[in-house]
Amino acid sequence: MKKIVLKFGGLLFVSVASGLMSHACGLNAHQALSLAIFVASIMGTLFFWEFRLSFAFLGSGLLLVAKAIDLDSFLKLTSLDVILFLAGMMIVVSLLKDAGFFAWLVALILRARNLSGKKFTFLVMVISGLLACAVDEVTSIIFMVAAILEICDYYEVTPTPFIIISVLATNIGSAATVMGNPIGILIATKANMSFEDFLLTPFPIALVALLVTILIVFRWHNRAIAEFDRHIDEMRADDILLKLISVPMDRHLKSSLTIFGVMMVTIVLHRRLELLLGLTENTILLIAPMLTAGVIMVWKRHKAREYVERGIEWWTLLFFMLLFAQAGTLRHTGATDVFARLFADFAKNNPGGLLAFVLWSSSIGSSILDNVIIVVTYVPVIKSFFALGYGSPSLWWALLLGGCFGGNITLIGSTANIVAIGLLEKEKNIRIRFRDWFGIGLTVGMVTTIVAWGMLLLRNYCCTFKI
Amino acid sequence: MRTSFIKFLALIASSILVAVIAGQAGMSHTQALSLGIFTASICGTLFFWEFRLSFAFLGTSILILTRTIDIPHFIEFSSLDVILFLVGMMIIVGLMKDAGFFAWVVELILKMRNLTARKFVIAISLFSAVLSATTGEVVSIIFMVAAILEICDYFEVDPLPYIIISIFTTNIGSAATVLGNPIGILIATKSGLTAEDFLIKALPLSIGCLAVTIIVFDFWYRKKLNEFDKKIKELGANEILIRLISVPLARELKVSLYILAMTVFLITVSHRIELFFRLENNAVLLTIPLIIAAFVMIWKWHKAREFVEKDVEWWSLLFFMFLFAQAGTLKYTGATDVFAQGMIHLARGSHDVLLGLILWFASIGSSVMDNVVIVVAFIPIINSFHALGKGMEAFWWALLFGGCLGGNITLIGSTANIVAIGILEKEKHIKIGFLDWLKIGLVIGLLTTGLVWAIFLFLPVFG
Repeated sequence: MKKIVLKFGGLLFVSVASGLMSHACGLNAHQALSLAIFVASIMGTLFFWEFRLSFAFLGSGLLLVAKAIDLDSFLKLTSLDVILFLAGMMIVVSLLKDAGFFAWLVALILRARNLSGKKFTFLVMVISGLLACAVDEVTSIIFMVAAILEICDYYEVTPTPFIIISVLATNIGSAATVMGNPIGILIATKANMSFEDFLLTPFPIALVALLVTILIVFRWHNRAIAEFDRHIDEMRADDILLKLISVPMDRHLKSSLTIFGVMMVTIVLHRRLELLLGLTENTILLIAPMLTAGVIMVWKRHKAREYVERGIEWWTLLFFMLLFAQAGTLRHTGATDVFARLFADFAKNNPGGLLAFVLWSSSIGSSILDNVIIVVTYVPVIKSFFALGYGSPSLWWALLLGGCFGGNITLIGSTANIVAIGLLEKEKNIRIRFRDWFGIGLTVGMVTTIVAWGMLLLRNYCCTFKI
Repeated sequence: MRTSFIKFLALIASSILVAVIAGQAGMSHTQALSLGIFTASICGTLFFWEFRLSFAFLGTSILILTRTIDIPHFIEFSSLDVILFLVGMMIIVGLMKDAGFFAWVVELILKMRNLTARKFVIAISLFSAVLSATTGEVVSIIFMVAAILEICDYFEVDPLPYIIISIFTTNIGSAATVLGNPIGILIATKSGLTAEDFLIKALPLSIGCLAVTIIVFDFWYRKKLNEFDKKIKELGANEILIRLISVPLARELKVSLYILAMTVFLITVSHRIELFFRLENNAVLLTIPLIIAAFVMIWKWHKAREFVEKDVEWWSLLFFMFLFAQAGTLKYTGATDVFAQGMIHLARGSHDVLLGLILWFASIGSSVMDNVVIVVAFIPIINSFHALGKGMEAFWWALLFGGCLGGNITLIGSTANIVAIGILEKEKHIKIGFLDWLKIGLVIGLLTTGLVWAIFLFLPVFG
């Protein structure tokens, strides 16, 4: 109880102090208020994770009543399009879960011929990465953890190292596409980036980062891998397991996969289709999941209500919506313009420095905070940079890559980590200690961020000299 | 399978037909398309209630793909403010349920002293009306039905008449405040009417309707009521029942009661607060449920997630959102202006005729469809009446009362009816025939709508 009061006092103090200080530094009353409330919301998520929605409700109410923003603008800043995109995706993913897609995928790994420790590690990481960028990181990690636990149970090895590497690959893979992570679609809509843009920049970067990570993991966990090999040699009975777990591809699963495939193709080609139909940018990207969800709910009419009520994470979406609006208010009041102007000289003389700053701060920031929060904070600031004429597209990519790769640094860096650790604790009663994670997490987080940095610099270099 | 196929063809045919006729009648391409899709959505809710959300998703996608509307406008029309208001209220009602508020109300009814049949009817009518006006019709009817079934079981009488009066009064009561019915808050935000206006105008009007309903009901079911009186004499009132149940007023319940009272009070005075702080209209009205819901979620933090995920009817809210946006598209393309011109022409510019038209159309329309659908379709049309100048307010009241009172006419007129009948069927295996309902429903629906109409015509305060 005392701790809570202390935390709460700390929260109030910091948010009031940031409001007052920024006011003293030249922000007007509305700007300072919107900043203070945003700070309180962020601190709220940091200290009172359970209460985050309440804080978001209260903060939003306060912003409106204090006239920092009018209702219409506030509603416009909620990015309802992003929310509906995520809701649609969640309905599609519920169908895939329901149809047994993930169990089928797990069986696919298990049936790999001539399994060895290295091969297993490689497969787990590649599938985690690809799955994360095709559906989303949270769904992907849930099923990967289930698969890994099953396999490790069978071969009687400790699952912990493999769970950790799967999480690492999931976080890296989630940066590769628009669907991998909520911050992907958020950045795509705010920066008007298409799926093709994602394929050209973050996708190759994530791929390289994944390869580098695989190499690091081979070195780091060589003992665990060697032990895995030893157990395989002892058992050598792949065939029994094979028969036990083979999941046949039934008609239901095939239809579900076809629907999912059509949606993916639509999303990949969305920019072409938009040009063809003369639609504004990202229209097709945003409505593709909704259209698919509409078809799915006609097909599976008995389950439609369940998909909507259980499949969609309304709690999180509601929080995102208000968080987006609060961060948008910062830009609406002009507070972020003030910040951007502070950095203006630095940005003008040193564009590389700005890039590095955005990349590293978002990477380190998202190792302690939810990466959505980091990105939401930066979006209006980067927009202000663009308004002042110092923006460059690589800033958006730095934000995306930093936000995803930084999640690997700590145990609580991203939702995928928290979910995986929770599952491991619940199923096997194994607690991952901070130090189990920290060494490999920090190494991978740092190295992949450096990879991203290097490749972004290279990209800029190539763009400048038109290579 | 066969019938659903035919229904589907009928839906497609009617929506294409509407679009083609509209095109022939001089509407532009986009106007006709938006009208066709809106028709499909409405027919979808009528024929394929289970599929309504799918239809809304698909229709919306077509509207966007055909460039009838762009995403930013679509989002603007989705009335997220109304949705968030409803989310907040549903969280608060979730707390009330959790705290045992409704059980406590049920108990209040059960424990009435010196019970007579007429007293019972008046009591359940008032309770139904007040509950639905403060917590929304659906939640209110669920608990009222539970209370009525319990009492009727005790006295061994047929519960049907009392369930029916409870439904009637629930629908009537839901028109009294902005909280009673989703159409209340929807109309409030679109028309600029405040909660205070509802208190001054909608509340008395709905009390009048309530009185008429009780009188007619008393006459209609006089035999059944006499039978009930006889039973009460035989069984010696409900003394045993009173002793059987006594739920003490727990601290948690008391706090919840304060919270509900606070919410209702703040919403009632919200316009004063807005004026005091010089805020835009309805800014406070819409944020109050959110702020109170926030406190509720802090107080009951381990249940907060449950309130948000289970007590908020996301399925309906998502449907509403898309429906609002589709109706907004009609306005955006200008299709509703064409309609409004047509209606003004039909009424020969007479304000009174137009008013009657809206009231009766909304009333009869919402007897077959969800009243939200009717109201959503009418809002942009009424907005287009601006050309008429004065007397706009009366149209909004006509829409509100038409939408709520018409729900009584048929068995499927409002969500409250469907829910109550569903419970009755499940618990007692009592089925109500469509025509059985229609007899009393039509009388009550027409009488109350007629009463409202007469008041509109003869009392100029509503203009």
